[in-house]
Amino acid sequence: MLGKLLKHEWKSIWKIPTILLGALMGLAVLAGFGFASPVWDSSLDGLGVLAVLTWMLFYLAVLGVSLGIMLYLAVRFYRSMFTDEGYLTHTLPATSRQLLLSKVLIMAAWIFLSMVGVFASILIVGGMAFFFLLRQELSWNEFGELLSYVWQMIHSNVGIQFTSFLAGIFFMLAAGIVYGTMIIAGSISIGQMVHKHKVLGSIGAYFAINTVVQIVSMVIVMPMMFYNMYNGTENVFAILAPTYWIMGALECALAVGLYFLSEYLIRKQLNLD
Amino acid sequence: MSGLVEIRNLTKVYEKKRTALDGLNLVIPRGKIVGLLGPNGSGKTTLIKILNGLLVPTGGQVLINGLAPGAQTKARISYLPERTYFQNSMRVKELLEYFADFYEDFRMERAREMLLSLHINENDRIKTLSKGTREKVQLILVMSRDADLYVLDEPIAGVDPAARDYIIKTIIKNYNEKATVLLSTHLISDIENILDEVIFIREGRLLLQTTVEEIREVKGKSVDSYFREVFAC
Repeated sequence: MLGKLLKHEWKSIWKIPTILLGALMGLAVLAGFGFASPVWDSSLDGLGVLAVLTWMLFYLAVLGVSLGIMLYLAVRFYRSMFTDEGYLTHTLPATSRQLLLSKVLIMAAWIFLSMVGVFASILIVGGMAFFFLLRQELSWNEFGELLSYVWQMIHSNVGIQFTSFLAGIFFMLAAGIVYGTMIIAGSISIGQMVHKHKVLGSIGAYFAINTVVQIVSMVIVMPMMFYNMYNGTENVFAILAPTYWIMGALECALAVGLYFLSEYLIRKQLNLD
Repeated sequence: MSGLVEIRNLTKVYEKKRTALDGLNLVIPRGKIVGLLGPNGSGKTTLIKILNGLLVPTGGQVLINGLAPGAQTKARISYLPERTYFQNSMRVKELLEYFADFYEDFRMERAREMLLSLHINENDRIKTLSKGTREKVQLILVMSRDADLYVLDEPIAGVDPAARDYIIKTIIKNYNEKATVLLSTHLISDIENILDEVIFIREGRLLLQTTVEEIREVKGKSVDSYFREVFAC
């Protein structure tokens, strides 16, 4: 049953995020080609400002697409679970756990895909900008050597701490996907308890959960960072890496809590209008 | 033989202590068309939602085929709610696939025949259909299942007399004869000819459960007239 639910959930969601990510890729290629313009070879004033503006516009597009996808996922979850569509969803021959799992797994997949899409679009713009702006001064081989030199320099200076820092970042990103999914599902499930104002309740729950998380993470992370700094730890990676692990762990724990709370609310407190 | 649905001391209290069902006891037999009748706010929709696992009762017990409402009972109940529950961007044929995938008792051919008879194109998107056509599509999907229990909540409310006739005809023609149809409505005169039994509820309590024949023969009245007499304000 979970397989069928996943299949239909995917089918009901895939179009809009695919269009948004496709548009972002197109924009990245366009922005990249912008760097092929002869204007960059000229000695015009304000070229630096133009470059910053181009990046800023691209950043806004990235932000718009990421937020658009998150918002779309939230709206689809809300509609399929707690509005008229819920009459079909909740009368399928499936358990509450199967229903919720199918929704959150597809949501998590799309949050992951949007992260990959954003990363790929940055690579496209950056790669094309490098290709068009520096191709006359730097060959691919030289660029490879430059990257390798930078990597070696970081590694020889900060050693194992950099690897740990990178691992910390990846862990936090993975935890962010799980937490990002569950804060959407959790907030909306909590919000439906406010019978006359379900949307408002969901938004309120979202901000309340986020505020608590911010306060808790500050209480945990700040003393640790100060401790490291005042104990002569000068290496920024050594200071940041543990905080990423702690933040990631906190997000995972919260996501698990939100999952079980959502499941309970859907199983025991469901009340469609 | 035990009933298809057994309801024991069922209670549902909403927030602000509003009691929708108050110790309801009921047995709904197999193979009958049963009218669930009562004035607004009598608890009909609450009972229907509990049967379909859309609400959790505050107290008491509901058994369908001996099982509490859950995934197994949902596989055997075909439910038509008061509202349409489609995702508007879906096409009719996608809904057919959806039902065929989830409900083993869904009969694709039957659904296609009914759609064809109403000239509804399977490639049409739900959002392009009129409200009345959407309701008909939903009825077709619900009645294309060979369920044990059909729960139809106000199936003829808000539609013109011709559509009403079509809906009643569709129900009669397509329901699994070994199954029970539980039909909630205010438009008693339109459906009383197809009913075997009626259940009257008021303020969440059972007022009467009897056969239509008995109302006609013993009380000497139609179900509609008797309903008006019992629930007179």
